[in-house]
Amino acid sequence: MLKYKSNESKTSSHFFITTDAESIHLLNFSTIEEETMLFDNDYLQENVVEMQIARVSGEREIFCKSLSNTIKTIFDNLLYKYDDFIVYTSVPVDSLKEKLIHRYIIEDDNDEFFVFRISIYDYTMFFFLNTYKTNLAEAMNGIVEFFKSEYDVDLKLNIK
Amino acid sequence: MSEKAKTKGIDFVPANAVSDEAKHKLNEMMKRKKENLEKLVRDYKEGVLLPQN
Repeated sequence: MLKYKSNESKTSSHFFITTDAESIHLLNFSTIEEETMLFDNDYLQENVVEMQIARVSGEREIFCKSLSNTIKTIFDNLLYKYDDFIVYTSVPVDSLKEKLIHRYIIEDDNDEFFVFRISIYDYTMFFFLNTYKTNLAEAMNGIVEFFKSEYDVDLKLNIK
Repeated sequence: MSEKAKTKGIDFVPANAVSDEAKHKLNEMMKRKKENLEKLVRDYKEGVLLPQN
């Protein structure tokens, strides 16, 4: 677990993580501005935060497992800490970030952790939540409605 | 994707074709996301974003 400092609230949190090589990565969770994404659903608009991460200082490093583990720990703590807290992120299909997120999902052993994953065009969109602290049905209905109203797309289950 | 990864949630895909307009909207959304990320880095470097603890 790496050291980090933070500013934290339900609507906007920043975590400044320092790696062993002294580079700093900023992990950000913020309410989504309506200009960026407008959910036609009050529950989602009020409770979805977007997750972003960026290296803000230091040299680029090869994949750092301790950084990955630290991010996941922070992420889990937030999902546990707040009621009705939904974390959203979108990444290009087959990108390194998508592979990292899949790894988080595969390695997760917490029954409360849940994800809605939508593959559309060249992107994968993830909505993460805690099933014990979030209204799963309301979140799912809101997501399905959003894709219909925003992209004129009906979603179906991806069963292989 | 492994079977175990799939059991952690629900996967959705479009049931109908994604229109060119929707593709454009998705590209624009990702472009704004990239711009927001760049602003985040800029805010940190300019001292606007600072840790409190």
